[in-house]
Amino acid sequence: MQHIVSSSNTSTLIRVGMRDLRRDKWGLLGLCILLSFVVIALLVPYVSVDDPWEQSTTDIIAPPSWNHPFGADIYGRDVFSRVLWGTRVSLGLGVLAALTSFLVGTVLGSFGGYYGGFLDDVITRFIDLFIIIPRVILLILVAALMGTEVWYMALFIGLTMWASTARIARAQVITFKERGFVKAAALLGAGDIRLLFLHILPNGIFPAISNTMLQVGDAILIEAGLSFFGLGDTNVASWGQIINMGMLSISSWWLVVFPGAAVALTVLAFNLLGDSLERRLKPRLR
Amino acid sequence: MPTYVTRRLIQSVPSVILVILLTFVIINLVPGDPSATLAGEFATPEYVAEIRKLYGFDRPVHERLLIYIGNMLTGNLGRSFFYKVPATQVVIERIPATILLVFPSIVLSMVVGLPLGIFAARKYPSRTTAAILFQAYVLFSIPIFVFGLLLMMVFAVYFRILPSSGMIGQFYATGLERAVDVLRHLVLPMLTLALISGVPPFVRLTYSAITEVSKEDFITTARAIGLDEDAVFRRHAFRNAMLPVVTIAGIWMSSAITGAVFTETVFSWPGIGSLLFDSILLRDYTVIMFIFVLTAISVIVVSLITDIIYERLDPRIRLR
Repeated sequence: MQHIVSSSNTSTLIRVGMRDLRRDKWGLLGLCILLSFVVIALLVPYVSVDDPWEQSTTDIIAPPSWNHPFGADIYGRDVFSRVLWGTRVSLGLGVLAALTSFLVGTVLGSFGGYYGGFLDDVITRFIDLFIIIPRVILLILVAALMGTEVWYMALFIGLTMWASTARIARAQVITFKERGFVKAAALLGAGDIRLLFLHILPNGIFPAISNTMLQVGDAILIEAGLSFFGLGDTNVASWGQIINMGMLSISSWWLVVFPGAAVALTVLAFNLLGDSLERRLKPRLR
Repeated sequence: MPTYVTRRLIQSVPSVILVILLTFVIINLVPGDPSATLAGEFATPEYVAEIRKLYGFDRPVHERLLIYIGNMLTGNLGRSFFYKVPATQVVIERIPATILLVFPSIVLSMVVGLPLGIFAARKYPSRTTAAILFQAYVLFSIPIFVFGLLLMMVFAVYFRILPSSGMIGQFYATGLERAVDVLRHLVLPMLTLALISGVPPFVRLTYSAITEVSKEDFITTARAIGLDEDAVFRRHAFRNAMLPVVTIAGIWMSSAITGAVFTETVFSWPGIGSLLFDSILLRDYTVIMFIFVLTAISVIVVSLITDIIYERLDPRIRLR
């Protein structure tokens, strides 16, 4: 049986998407911010900043100074290095959560859209369920009940976010199911799985991807929120954790402003990127 | 139209049931049960076992679920473990505070967000548009509790012109004095909720809705037959653009509730949000369940209302 190559123009789309990035100022801005954070995250272990866990008995809640550019928290730990190291945690967590959401959402959504019928009804019900329940509340519940290790949190966050991706994937599959090239492939004997993964998905996946990008930002916000409430992993120097300590002493603005700004910038970057991706992919798929 | 409403209502019932199921299952996944805490500090093992039997914790999960649903249908949602009064009472007591916070926030969000979005759309390729939209992005990216804390730090701690927490400062004030006191406490949390959760979505949505609609053919036609820009906008662009805005208002309920939880906790505002948070930390299951159910129902109700309004506004749906 001759191998039918997918008729997608994936590589062309990527090339075209990237080419116009130069003109899309906001996407560019988002990309720059994101790249800076990624660079920070990757290089931190090799740059000599203070040990983020090193406690000090003299510098408790110290305002920013030459020694501690971002100040110190209640254990005397240097906030600057904690913010820098926090980049790794937050980015890793955000990506993991969004990836989980992407996988679960795409699989469920596309199966539902493809097979239709009862399976589709059940899946749609599930999707609606997860859209109705306010995510953060569910997560607070889960975190309080089941412990707060960082990687579990990332997974759970992803497991609550999949609904929107699923909806998008499902809509895309339903649209593409009827397209000429898919029907042609089916007539030539391609099985269901092959059709889905080699033909439909490579073409229809892009709105889901841009949505997932926005979700990375969301996940980071959620994690920060949970940590702020004391439901985060205390063994990990995430930005939310730093702010959590900041609540204790309301006049220590540096414990809130710096990590808060870090979160805001990262989320902003993902939002800009995600939206710019969505904008540029929309007309081309028409 | 009554049939549409009833149809949607019937469709919502399984969703509510699923929510209850999901919450119940999650709560009961935890090993151990509250009987030790309920029995108190000095309890003997026999007493703990008695408590366990009394509350029915020794029965299997599916039995407890059925009992719970049965009770729920008769209006008995259990007793709060912490407050020792019916869960319904605890929750309902704090609903007004949350409504007092959320509704003005929604109104403020719309009053600020819609005009900004419209303004941004009409001035399309210009720096003002970019500035407005960028602001919306930035506001949306700031964690809501960070913003709340910042506002608190600036206005309550540094300038000391607004109170930093709670809903009431002067316990014995009545009438106008009480109203003013509450309002002073309302300012910061409401601003936080509105500016972060409400305004950015409205601005972005209105902007994209109007720009999308403006590209449609019928707008070009309207211009071609000689209507001036204002009329074109008012009679055609605006009305059609409002449709998706209405839909989003329904979905927005979910994130509004989330925002309320954070805002209320940061500002110690005595509403359902902070109650939910406290209950989760205290493992007060009955209250948690009730709040979840209530939240799910209100989200469903709001989206139902939104759908009905949408159906009224858009004849295309009606005629389908």
